[in-house]
Amino acid sequence: MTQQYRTPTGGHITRDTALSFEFEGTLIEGYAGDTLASALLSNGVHHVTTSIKFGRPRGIAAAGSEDPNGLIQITTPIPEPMQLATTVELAPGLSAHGIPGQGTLPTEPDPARYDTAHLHVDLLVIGAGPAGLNAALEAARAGARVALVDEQPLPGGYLLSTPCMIGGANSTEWIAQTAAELAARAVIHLQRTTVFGLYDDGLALAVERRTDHRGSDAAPDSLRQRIWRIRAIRTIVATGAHERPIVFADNDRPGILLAGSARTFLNRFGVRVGDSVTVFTTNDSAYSSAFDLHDAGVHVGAIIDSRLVIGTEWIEGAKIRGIPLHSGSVVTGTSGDNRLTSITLRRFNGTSFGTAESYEADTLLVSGGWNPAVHLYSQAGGMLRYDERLGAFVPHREVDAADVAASRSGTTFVPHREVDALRRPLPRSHEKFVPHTGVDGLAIAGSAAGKFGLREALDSSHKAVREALVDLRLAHSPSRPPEVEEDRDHTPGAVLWFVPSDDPHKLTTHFVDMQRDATVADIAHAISAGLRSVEHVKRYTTIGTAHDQGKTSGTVASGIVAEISGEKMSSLGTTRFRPPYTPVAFAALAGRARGHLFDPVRVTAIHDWHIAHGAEFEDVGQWKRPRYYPRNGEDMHAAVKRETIAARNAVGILDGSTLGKIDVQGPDAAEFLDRIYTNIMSTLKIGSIRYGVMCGVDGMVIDDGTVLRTEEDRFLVYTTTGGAARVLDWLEEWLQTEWPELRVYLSSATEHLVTFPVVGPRSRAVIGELFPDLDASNEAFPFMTWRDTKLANIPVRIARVSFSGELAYEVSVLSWYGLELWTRLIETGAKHGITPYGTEAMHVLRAEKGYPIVGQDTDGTVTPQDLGMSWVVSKKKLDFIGKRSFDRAANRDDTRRQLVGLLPDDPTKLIPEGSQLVTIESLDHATVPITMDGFVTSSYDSHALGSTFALALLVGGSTRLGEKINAVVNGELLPATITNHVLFDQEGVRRDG
Amino acid sequence: MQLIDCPWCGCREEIEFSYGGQAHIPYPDNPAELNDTQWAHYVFFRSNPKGVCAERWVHSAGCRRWFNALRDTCTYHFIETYRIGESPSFTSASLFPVTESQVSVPTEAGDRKTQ
Ligand SMILES: [Zn+2]
Repeated sequence: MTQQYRTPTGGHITRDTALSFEFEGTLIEGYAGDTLASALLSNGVHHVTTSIKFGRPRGIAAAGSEDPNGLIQITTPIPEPMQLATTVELAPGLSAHGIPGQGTLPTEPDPARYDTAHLHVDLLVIGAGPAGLNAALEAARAGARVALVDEQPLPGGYLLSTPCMIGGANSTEWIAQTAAELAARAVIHLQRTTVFGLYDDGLALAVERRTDHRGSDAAPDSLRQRIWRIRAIRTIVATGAHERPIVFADNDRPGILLAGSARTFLNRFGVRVGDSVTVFTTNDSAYSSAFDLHDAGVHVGAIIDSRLVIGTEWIEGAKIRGIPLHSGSVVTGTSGDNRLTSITLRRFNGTSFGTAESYEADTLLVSGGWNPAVHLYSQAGGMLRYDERLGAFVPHREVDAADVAASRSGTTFVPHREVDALRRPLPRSHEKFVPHTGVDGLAIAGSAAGKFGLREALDSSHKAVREALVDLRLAHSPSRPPEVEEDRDHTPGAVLWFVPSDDPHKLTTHFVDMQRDATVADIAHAISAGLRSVEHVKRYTTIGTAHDQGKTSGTVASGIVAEISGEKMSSLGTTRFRPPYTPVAFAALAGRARGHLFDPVRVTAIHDWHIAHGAEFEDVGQWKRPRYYPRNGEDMHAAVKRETIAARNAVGILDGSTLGKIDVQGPDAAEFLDRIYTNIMSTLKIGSIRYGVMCGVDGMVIDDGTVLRTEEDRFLVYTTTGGAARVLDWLEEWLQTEWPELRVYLSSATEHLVTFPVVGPRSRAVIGELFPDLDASNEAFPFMTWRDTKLANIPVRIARVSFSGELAYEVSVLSWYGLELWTRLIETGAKHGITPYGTEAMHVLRAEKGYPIVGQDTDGTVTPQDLGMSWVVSKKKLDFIGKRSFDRAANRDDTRRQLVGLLPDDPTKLIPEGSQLVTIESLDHATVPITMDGFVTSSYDSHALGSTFALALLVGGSTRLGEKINAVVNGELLPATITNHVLFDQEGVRRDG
Repeated sequence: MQLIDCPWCGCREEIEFSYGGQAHIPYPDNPAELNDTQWAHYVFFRSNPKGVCAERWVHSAGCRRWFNALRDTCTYHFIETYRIGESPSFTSASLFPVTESQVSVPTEAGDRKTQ
């Protein structure tokens, strides 16, 4: 094709640089500076895709991200679904095709990179149209640190579509001069960057598209997109406005588009949208489009204006150009298959129609007025009000004023520059609390504030930036916005949401949301179904839920709801705007937090040894822990069996380094621990160890572990692996908020120390051999004591504790020496058959002994007594956290769930963890709901027991030992016998060897 | 993502902080003397107001200090933060609920045993 619709000159495209691209399999040419949409239109291609529900042909309906129609899938160079032809820049190697509402995710991996950058500024200006450029410039001249962010490839916004004189220059020159001065003043100026969310305290999130416009010239692993996290003390939203369509019968044919967009295609891209154009408008703005197109040589067949009163300058302008003007008329229908061929118009006085006339036209330009792009302002909490004159929602002025006042008084607003200097940002006291009304340091300017004239837009920008400079406490010289022509005195536009040609329920081709194929009839049905709120109608009809989030359909839908239901638009309101403003790829949001960087991975000091010895790992919180060490192709079951046999019959070794450790120091450390633990810690002797349980004030177990008294004023507290951080916060909370008089200091020691339990009957031999200075005998080194010794010159601490019931020595050193200690233990233990075991074997060993895991066998509703550990609850202490709750009637109830063991009748059947326990004998004809007596918390296959077994929390469990119970497994009952939760070595004879 | 003004560090990103429930609910002097209802009020009952609420927060990923904050539950916005034992400059009777569980009522805005 030949770009037969391209103008010979004009526009912000480079006619020297032709770019070929493929669309629907056809090779087409456009120019650098084109969007895919403008390039298609320059070749006369309007029809881009078919609609999602009805399969109707659809074309380009707007020029920017508000287009509800032109969805495409990019196949090369970077496959990506759900893009808009109007926002995809033409680039080398581009190949795309239209999609009916849904795209396909590429199957190949994405080699591109994505990252995040942080930015702190005094003033963020969103939108580089005339209002935004002026605001950035005035602020930069006053010395503010400014960021200017705009979604288009070029700055200029509205000026790109509407050439004019501004500041004594033509608009193209003024844009260039302004951008140059911004650069000279070190303004951070980001184009191709969309602010998609405005959040609290001046946080804006923006996505910068860095390489897509270079197409296949960009390296595949380029840093493709970047998320900017911008903190601004003040923000000016100058995001412009979106034109609003008018809804009429068959308003969705290719060739029907917004009037202002046609002007954009003409003036910015040098593209004529058709050969024979008709304009349908309710307001003045479309006349400029009609005249520009006419002046560019396009035949403008008619202007159809719903108003009776039209400004003389427009009437004159049409007359001079010989364009017939139909006032008081509306479009009532269209025809054409894949492209508009004709339209029907009638006179319309608001209630009755005149006779129909048909015109041939390949293009129909529509304007129902303009909606300020208040999305970001509303996201940030800004309140909107309905403006009857504009037929649009605009920022609520009174609220704005209050907000500016509030932020000046320093109550709801944080000056980040002072944060940067690490100074206290605000005076800590203030006279009185000013209720927060929703918008922090946020102003809205230009057509986004409903100021559609260029002069009033610049004036509003000037006012907003001066207010911002006052807040920033920046001196500013008297300045004025650039000189422009007087705004034309507009005749008020008419508000016409839809052409009501029939019973609304029958208006099934009056498309409101073209992407969703939702019509006036759908809204009428929603209202007939009793829905009144626009939020409900939105969800019933799906209007506004597509990729464009209702940029063109939202206000129109509210208007139609108001009209059909007889509600007032002002009381009806509009649906809430939510981020993102335009779709953002998950890859961009994820940034570098993908794969192994998704979440920090914590490994122990001997992680590499585990890998070298073939360990299979399991994630425990952020930790990687060896789950088992398969040998010779063993599966997990075989490996775990071998590992548990070694620990029970010879010697095993575990990497227990991930256990949380807290160093508790200070003169009141013992008193503090007495208040925290259910049992007494102050009587613990230096050199001794005690197991302790921590409860919440409700008496429920929150963590457990051993406590070593290392000095008179110092304890080492072990926590569960997953509880380490939480327990530290918990201890600090009590210390800081309730007992600040206690002289106690806490520090995490989790990663300072490695701890290796050496477990099993032969552990004494291994320890005795490796540490000849230590008397490892039971008499010299009894259970629940610790001893210090050395390995060469490395200080080593060994503790006689057991999480398996076996004789065990837990050996600790500083992490630096972890690998050395581990390898020496392995070498020394070799002749005793020392076997490294993982978390799975550890679980089997501890469960056989009935040792609960907090968080697995408990769930926040379990007391120490429920776990069969009344012995760990002190009767002597006057108080400790949780004590009073143990006396509550609910805590003494006999029907509480208690920890028991279960032995399945069939010792080969494993009851899955989580299985429910019931007393009924058969599930057939059972009355539902079936009473649940409890549930399985841990379940393993045990070599020592010669059977599978489980731990369970069971109603009244401690009084039901020996009874039968049924586990519900896949719709069948698995019978089991209830046992004591300690299933192995109940007498505890093994722990001393 | 708000900025929270840690009384020790200054304004930091919300993600550095953890929430710790309603503030100014002191641990009773003698829990053993309370009946079950009174104790339950201390353990379970919270005022959950619409509007200004005093809360405990901790700067978990920063200085690890607990502090108090006044926050508007309608807007999430922090009105002010203050150290344990200090009083907020904005006061309201509703911030210091006196329930029947509280045998000892705090004599000032701070937590019970602070001074
Ligand atoms: Zn802090």
